[in-house]
Amino acid sequence: MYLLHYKLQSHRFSIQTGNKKLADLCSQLYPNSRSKHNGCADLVYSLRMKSDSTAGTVYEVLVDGKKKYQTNSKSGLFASLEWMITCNALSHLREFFQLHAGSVEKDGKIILLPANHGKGKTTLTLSLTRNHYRCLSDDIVLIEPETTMVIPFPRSFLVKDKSIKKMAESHLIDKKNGYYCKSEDILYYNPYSTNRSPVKKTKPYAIIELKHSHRFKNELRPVSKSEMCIKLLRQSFNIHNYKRNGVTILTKLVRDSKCYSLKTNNVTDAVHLFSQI
Amino acid sequence: MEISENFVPVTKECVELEELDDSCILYDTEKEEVYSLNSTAASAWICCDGKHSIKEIADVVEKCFKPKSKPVLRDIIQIIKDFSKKGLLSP
Repeated sequence: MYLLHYKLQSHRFSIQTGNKKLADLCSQLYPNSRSKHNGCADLVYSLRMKSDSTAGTVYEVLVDGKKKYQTNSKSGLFASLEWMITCNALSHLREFFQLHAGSVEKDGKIILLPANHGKGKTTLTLSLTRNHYRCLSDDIVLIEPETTMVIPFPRSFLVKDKSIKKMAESHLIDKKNGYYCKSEDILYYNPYSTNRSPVKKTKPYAIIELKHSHRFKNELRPVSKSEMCIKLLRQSFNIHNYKRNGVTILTKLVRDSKCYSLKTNNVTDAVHLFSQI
Repeated sequence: MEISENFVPVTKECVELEELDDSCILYDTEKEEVYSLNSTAASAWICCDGKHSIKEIADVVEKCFKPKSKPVLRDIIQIIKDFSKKGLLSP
């Protein structure tokens, strides 16, 4: 039996499987969060592989002994397991205010990039590595409520379909640092493996709302803090747990940060505008 | 409700204000809704204490701004109407 232990802040989970290939597959999941010891796992994911005369090879995921998912595709198994782990981790990490945002760091300054899906967060975040920024997270950021310190969530960067080839050709990603999920046409990319030095907890230096469209003129402009506060509320995963306190946390967060809106029609100009902050 | 310069607005108790450097946030604790206020609207909000008419509020708010950017009475009336439309004022 292969047993892999993980620790994401206060959330501990384990993955167990009797199949070496599945164990190797799981090594691509949250690679920087592997832990040597189990402690007391909040959840145990069990992966099974069996052969069925009609269905062929069947992969199953059980969570604490209960079957949650089944598929014929190994890459489909990876995608669903990754999604399950992420959702369960966030539901366990209730002590943090959770935002849908990317984050980068340079010279000890953290910048948050709240944005909806498809607005260019991943492309911009990875492109900023050319300007000596470090990628911290692709789409999830944890905020300590009392201090408003930012803790990047080490989920893999999800690079989708046409972007994979473009980014690989631009040397923004190295396919060896990740897992390509064929069934979903997504590369789960781990930029953290290139720089493993720990990130010091700190308040954000700036918060930049990102919008991308070929129709936009490239523009970086300051926005009012109350506007940014409302935008962040819309990007929160767990505002329903915080309600009034969530508003207080976000007003504290924006009060100490510079707030901008970045509209762009191409990533090169976006990176150039970014460097002006 | 009829809102004119003589109207005396009162904010609802369930609506709380968070001040930021350049603007404010209003949080309606009953409806769990949030609103952003610019500096003019924030100044007007603070004056909606049930003791001042809109005309008096406009005079006070006008003193807070530089001559070129002074809000006029009709701006303040519109702001108060917006507050009323969003259910932020007591009936």
